[in-house]
Amino acid sequence: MTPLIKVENLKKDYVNEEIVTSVLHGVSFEIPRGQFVAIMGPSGSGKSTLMHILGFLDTLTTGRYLFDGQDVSTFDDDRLALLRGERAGFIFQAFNLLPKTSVLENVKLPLLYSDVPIRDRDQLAKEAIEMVGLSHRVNNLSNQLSGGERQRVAIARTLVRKPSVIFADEPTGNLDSKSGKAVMNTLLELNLNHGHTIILVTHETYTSEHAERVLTMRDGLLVEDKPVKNRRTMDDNHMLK
Amino acid sequence: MKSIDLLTSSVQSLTRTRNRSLLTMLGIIVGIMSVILVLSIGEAAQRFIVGQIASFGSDIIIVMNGPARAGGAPSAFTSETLTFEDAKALSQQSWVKAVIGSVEQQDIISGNGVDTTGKVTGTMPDELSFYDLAPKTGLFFSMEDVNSRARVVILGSEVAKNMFGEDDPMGKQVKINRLNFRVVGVMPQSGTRGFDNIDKNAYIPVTTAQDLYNRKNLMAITFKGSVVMTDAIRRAEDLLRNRHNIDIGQEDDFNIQTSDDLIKTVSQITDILKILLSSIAAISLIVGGIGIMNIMYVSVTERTREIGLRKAIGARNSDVLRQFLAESVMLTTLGGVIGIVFGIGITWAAIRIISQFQSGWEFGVSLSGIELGLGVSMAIGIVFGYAPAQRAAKLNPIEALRRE
Repeated sequence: MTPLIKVENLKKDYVNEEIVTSVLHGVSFEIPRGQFVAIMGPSGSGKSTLMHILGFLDTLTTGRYLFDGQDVSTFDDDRLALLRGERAGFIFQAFNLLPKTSVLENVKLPLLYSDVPIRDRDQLAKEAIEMVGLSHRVNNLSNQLSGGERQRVAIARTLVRKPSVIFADEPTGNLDSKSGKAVMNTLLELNLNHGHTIILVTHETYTSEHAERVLTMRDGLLVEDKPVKNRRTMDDNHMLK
Repeated sequence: MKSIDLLTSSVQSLTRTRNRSLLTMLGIIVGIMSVILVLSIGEAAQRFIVGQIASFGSDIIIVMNGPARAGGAPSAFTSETLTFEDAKALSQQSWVKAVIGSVEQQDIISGNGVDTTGKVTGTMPDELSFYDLAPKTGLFFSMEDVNSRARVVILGSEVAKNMFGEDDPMGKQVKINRLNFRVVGVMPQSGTRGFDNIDKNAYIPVTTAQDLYNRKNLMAITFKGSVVMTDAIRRAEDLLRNRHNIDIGQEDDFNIQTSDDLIKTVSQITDILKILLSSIAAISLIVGGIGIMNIMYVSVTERTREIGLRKAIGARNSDVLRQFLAESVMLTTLGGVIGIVFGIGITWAAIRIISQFQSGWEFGVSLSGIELGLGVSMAIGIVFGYAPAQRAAKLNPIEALRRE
C-alpha cells in the first residue's frame, strides 16, 4: 500500500544574501496512513523545517516528497495552498485563533477556502467542535476561553475539513500540564478512534510518548527512527478520566 | 474564495477594529463630501444664473463695449465706446421695439435724514416695457426727461421704505452724489433680476447719470428687435459700425450678445469653476487615500499571524490579496457613501442659507457628483489598497506565523 508520506534524500538550504545555510542534509522516511509520529530533536535540529515541508508550507531544495503517491516537490504556490486546505490540518503552539471572533466562526474559517456550500458549514463546524468536547462554547468569543480550550478550538478548526494528516507544532508548549494532557488526549482520540494521521513536533519526551513512533533529528539529519515501547494511552492522563 | 465569503470575511475584519475603520474613513468622507458640496452648489449656482439670464427674455440683445473676446467674457480693461446717441439712433430704427442705454453705479441715496445704499440705474423709459414693469405710485420718467437731463428719480420699493417708511415719498427730495433729485415714482416690490435686488434700485435718466458720474459713454445698450434675431444683430452691427466709422476688415469696438450667448458663457465659466474647485476638493481625497494606505499597511503588520494562518489553512496568495483589497474598497466605498449623504445634507443646508439672502436658488443634488464620488472612492480603495494587499499576499506563511 502506498505510504501517505514518503521523503527521499530531502535537503533544504536557505539562501540569504548569497550565504547558504543548509538545514536538512538528506532525510528519508515513510509514514503510513493512520500513524501517530512524533518528531523530536533539540533547537536547530531541523524538525520544524521538516514539518513545514511535510505540511506544504515550505518547499524542499533537493530530493523527493511523495504525498499520497504524488510528487509535490514541483507544485506551485496555488497547488500547495490547495493541498494545505484539503489534505492537511495545522495546530500551532500559539493557537492562532482570530481575536474577538466566536468559536464557531473560528472553526468555520478553513471552509472559506473550500467548495463546501455555505448552508452546510455551520453543521460541519459544530460536529468538529463536538469532537473536541466544546459544544457548550460554540458562541463564546475566542478571548473568553482558557488556553486548553483555545487549543481544542484550533484542533476543531483542523478537523472541519477532514484532513488526511494533522501537523501539530508544539501543541502543548503554551499550556499548563492539565490543559496539555487534555489536548494530547484529544489528539490520541483522533488517532485511535478516527484514524487520523498525526505528525507531532515536540521537544518534550512525555508528549512524544503519545505517538507510536518517534523520529529524532539532530543537525539536519534523521538520527533515530524507533517505535514507542510504552505508548501513553488516554488512561494515563488521569485527570481526564 | 467565493465573493460572498470575501464580503462577509472583510466585514468581520473591519468590524473587529470598528473605531479604527471609522477614523480611517474620515479622510474619504470629508473628501467626497467636499466634492459633492462643490459640484451640487456649483450646479445650483449655474441653474440660478442661467435662470436669471433667461428671465431677461430670450429675445434680448445686448451691445457691450469693446471687441468680442474668446468666450465672450468682457474684459475689465475695455474702453467704453457706446454713446447715448448710439442708443438714440437705435431707438429710431423701425426694426427696433425697445432700447435701453444704461449707466449703473452703487451709491448712497439720502432722503428724509436717512442714508441708504442702492444702485443708481441710469436708464431710458423703455425699461418698463423691456422688463414688464410699472411704477406702484407716480410715473416713470419720459424721453423728454432723458433729453433734458432732468433730476428726477423713481425709487425701488426697498429704497423708498428705508428712507420714508410708510410715508408717501412722492414729490420729496432725495440726494444722490450731493445733487438733489425729485421723487416722481415708486416701483413695486419686485425681488431679484439677474444678480440684482431691483428693489434697491433708484432709476434716473441715463443722461443725468452720465452727468452725475462724469461718464461720456454708456455701460451697455440693450434692445429688442421686431425682426428675427440674427437680422436684428446684423442691422445693429451695420448701424454701429457706420456710426463708429469702422471700415470693412477693421475690428468692431463693440460686441453684441444674446441671452443664449450669455448663458453659454456663464455655463462655460461655472463649468471651469466647478472643475477647479473639485480639483481642490480632490486633493483631500488623495490625502484620505494615503491615510487608507497607511492604515492598511498597519493592518497587514498587525495581522501578519492571521495572514500566515489563513495561508496555512488553504488561502491562496490571490485570496489574501482579494481580501485586503476588498477591505480597503469597502472602507473607501462606505466612506464615499457617508460622504455623499453628508454632502447632500450640507448642500441642502447651504442652499437654504443662501436662499435667505437671494431668492431663486433651488436645492438639487449633482447626480454626476454622486457617480463621481462613488467611482472615485472605489478607485481610491483599489489604488491605495493594492500595495498593502500585495504585501499581505506575498508574505511567507512560515515567517508570518512566527511573527510576534
